[in-house]
Amino acid sequence: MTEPDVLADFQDRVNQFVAECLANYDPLRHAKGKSIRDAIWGTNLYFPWEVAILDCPLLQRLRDVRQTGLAFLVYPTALHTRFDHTLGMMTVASRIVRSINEKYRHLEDPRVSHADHMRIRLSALLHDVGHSCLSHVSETIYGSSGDFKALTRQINSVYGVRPKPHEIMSWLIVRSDPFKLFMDDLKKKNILTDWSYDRGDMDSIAGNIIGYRKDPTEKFLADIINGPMDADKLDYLVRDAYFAGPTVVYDLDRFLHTVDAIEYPRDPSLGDQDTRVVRLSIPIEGVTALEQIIISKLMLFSYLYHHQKIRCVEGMYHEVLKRWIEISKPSPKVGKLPILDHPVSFLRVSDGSLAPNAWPVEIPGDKALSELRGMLMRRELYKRALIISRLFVLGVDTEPQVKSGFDALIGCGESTADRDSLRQKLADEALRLMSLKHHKGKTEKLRKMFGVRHVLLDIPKSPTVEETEAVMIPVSSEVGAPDAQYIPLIDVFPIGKWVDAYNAIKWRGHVFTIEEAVPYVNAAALNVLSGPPYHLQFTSQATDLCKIDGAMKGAYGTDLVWTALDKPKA
Amino acid sequence: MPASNATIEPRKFLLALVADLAQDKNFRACFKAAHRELHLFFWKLKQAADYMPFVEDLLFDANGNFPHCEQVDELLQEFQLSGVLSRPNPTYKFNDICITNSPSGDEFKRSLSDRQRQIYLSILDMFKHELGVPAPK
Repeated sequence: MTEPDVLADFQDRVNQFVAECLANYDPLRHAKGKSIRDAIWGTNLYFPWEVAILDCPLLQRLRDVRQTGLAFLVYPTALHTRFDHTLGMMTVASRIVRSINEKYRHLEDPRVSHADHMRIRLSALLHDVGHSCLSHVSETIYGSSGDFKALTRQINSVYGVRPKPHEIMSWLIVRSDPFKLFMDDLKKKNILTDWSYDRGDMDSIAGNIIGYRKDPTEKFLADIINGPMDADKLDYLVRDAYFAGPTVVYDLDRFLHTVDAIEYPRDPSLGDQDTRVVRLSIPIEGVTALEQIIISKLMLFSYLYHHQKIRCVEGMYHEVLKRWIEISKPSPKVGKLPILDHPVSFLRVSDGSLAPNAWPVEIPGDKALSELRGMLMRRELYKRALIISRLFVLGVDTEPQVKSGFDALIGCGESTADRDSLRQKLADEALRLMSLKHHKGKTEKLRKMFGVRHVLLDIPKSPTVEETEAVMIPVSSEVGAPDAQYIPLIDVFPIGKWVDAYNAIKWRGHVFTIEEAVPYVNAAALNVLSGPPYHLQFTSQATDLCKIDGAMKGAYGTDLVWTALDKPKA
Repeated sequence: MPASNATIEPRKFLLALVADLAQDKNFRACFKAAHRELHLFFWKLKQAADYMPFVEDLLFDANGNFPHCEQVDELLQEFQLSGVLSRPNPTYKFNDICITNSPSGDEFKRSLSDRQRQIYLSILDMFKHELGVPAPK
């Protein structure tokens, strides 16, 4: 399929999905203004047209998509959904608009017009409508398909942005014909009366969602929805922390007091006629508030997004989805399960349909899914067999060969092929160790069922701090004047150092496996990673901190010095 | 031998550039951490058809004030995480290169066609001169 065909194919499929969702939906029955109470931002008012959109099945499905995916298996109260977050983000986006307008109250017309304000609210309302089951868990899977990568490249070449997979899905939904017809209908039925809506607005709203504005002097409007300091982040940082439990706070009041639409020169390398760009930014006196936001984000990586147990169960669900995709093609054998034969088919799946108790007990022809179903039903999660950290690798700071080897291991996080190849090696080595003379007898049952699917290799991406990388801040009093001075935020707040420290001390990768196989997979990992191209020797902490308990050690009669297993005893 | 239009993995390409710069005695084992210049370097490559196979998978955000590629930042962070690069306090002006060679970088160069290798060497030359720091005489 050529790239233009890819977009047309995706758009057709999304059109069909949206048409199905909106069939038989009568917005007139829902178009009443509402005040809705939110645990984070308090009581907020929503216009009748917003309620008419919120109540439609496209948005209602977000009530069944958890914001933090599987984090609730570790933090039981992290059950908040994309729907709650959507409402929260609308509130924050509105507050940003009002704060900007407040700064320009001396102008005859507001800095952000009423119509633009409404478009921003609608963009916030729709920004996550493309999310699928367990949010980023499914996004990782469908986003890595060849077709989806081709679509991303195409969008990048046309719009010059690099959106995330779910943002692309939202973009496709918003620009779909059935959704535009739905919006036209709201206008025809006099529901959409608060602003002068026309069909062209939907393209600019879709653009906001992927961070694109045709006119660079309006770029700050897209930045409110998708930018370095967008309303999305301002809501999810507080919301995720609040519902999961860890305390993370930042000074929103100070941030709103300082945030502004700031004009600065556009780099000539971009080669177009627009020499100025207006972006959402902050003057130097607001930097501390932004620092708090960025550090809060780093804290949440520690608490939540990189939590080993959450990463482990996400890895298990990746296996579920991969198997699900496999059995969806070429002839669907999934029975009552939703068919996942294309990235767009993920839109039809929400968390409820992925919950293990919604699957049939036996999935014909697929042992792996049936096994995973049982494990997830009992919350029998894989265990750590090895912790990968710079702290636990001998010579990683001094030996060039070790640095290269550690880099090759980290590189497996980028490449599915490399990761799967290493997983296979680990599984093969574990099976070899299980077959050794003095282990053969006690691992008979384990050897029969053990396979590569029982070995997960998790190499999380290090936190991104794009907030400081693309943001310029004015340092002279005459903001926007031809001789005004701007510096990158990274110059006054070198967050890279924080990230470096996080990577050195807090970042962890893992090898996970089923509980019975932990000692063998631990030994297998130590063996395989000590050979080429890795040449890594781990300290005992890499094993000890896996909390491999005494019972487990006792069951296999070993002191876990597994590298010696295959050497004959003197 | 890959076809001349085969896409090259950005990670292997960047790693080879970094490792090769470190081996050149005329330069210090580091490159400038100037954010804008770094992104502009890869952006310029992206604009020239000859260099395209090396940067095809690098997707830029060209909708802001300067072209910015999140993948480049992510890769540099990964290199910092694995110890290939270090960014010493307090200046934070340079990415120090902590490896003298890279097996995967060598493997990458072996995988190039003769024509691609020539192009790679011209990119390396530009990289050294735009972002490298000459060694003291």
